[in-house]
Amino acid sequence: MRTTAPIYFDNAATSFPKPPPVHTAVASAMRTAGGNPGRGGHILSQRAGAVVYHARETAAACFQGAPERVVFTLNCTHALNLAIQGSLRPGDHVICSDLEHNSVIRPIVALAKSGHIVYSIAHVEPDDAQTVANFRALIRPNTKAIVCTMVSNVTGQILPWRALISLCQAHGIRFIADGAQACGILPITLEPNMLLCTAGHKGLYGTMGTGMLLSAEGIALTPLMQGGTGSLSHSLQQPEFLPDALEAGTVNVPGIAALDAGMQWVQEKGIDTLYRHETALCERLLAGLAAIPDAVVYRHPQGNYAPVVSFTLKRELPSDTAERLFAAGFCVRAGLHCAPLAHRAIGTAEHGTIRFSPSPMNTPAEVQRFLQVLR
Amino acid sequence: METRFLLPTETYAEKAKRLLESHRLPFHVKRMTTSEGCTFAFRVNAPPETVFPLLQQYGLPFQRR
Repeated sequence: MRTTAPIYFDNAATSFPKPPPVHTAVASAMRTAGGNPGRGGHILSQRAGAVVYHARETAAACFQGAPERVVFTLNCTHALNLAIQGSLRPGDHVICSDLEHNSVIRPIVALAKSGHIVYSIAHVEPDDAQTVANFRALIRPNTKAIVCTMVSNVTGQILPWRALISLCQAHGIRFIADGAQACGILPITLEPNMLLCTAGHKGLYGTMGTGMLLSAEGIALTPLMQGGTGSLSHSLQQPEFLPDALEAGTVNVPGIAALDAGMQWVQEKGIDTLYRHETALCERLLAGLAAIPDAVVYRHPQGNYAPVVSFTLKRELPSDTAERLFAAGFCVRAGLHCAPLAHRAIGTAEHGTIRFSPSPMNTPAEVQRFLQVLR
Repeated sequence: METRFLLPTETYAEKAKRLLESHRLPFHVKRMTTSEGCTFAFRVNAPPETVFPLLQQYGLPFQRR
């Protein structure tokens, strides 16, 4: 059994390790704020409520939203389902990209299979203007939303989401953003007509079991769940105001405390600083892969990329490469990354790729050792 | 002079607490049940003409008591 700590390059799945303040926040919440927020008048309920509200404020500051319009979810998938299913009505048309994660395409396909909606898939090009043109060409009179990832979880390609938001605004369409790989990595602000869905446990350094949905003013969503909210409790109907409308049941207070601490850590370190560090590690990897004759890297020279790299070695299957890497102490994810559309788009649908996704906790020396194992 | 109002949710109550604290307005808040369900009852040690415009400015859906 391996006795040394593994070197973790799978931060696109979930970030590890978490910064120390995140650990502290979880422990503190469990020790001192153990009540159910909004469910009692006692001190422990109030402390829990304060923890949760502080996290809303932090999120609102990070993304230029309003605290009341920050909805805490189980994960990004939950947030996306709230946004997608809560936005679309029978007869609506929706457009997504060909790089989408299953958390986007599966709810869309499910709604389409049940006959509620129709959908189109826009091809993402290396050239942003062409990508936007591809989306524009698919807009119909009944198009209700564009749903797309901001950063591909397979290739790391950064989609032209600002231009797509402008396109949506020009056509009175909602923009539903999958920010799972972008939040905490790129500077993002909530724009009119926009719903931002994200994971709490990736670039924002919270724990698994957390996510967020931030919505611009004036956007209403139909809830997926009804239940107790600690508000309007005389009524048998779900409240219509946020966040209660979309937060039925008890929220994950320790997780939210962790997410708050993670977001604050990112703000303190500076997104640009973190981004430069991770990008430098990816560039080191890319330079090393260029010297490996059978390495294939799935990036376009003209594309814009976040610090995620997908590659394969022609000599072996990606799963075999990952196993070899794990035996040497490295954690990466091989396979389809829950994004079969993306793998079809890049021609790796049969066996997938190895995905390298570093964090600020990784070092250049770790990347060098990684490359030595690959060779 | 004292001002009393109700807010329907814990989120609004937390927002109000921060608002009152930032304006140095002493207050007491208690969770209680009314005919409209569970609510947060505020008692602020400041006149209504100071408190209510502030709550309105920050979009808090208060109910006067």
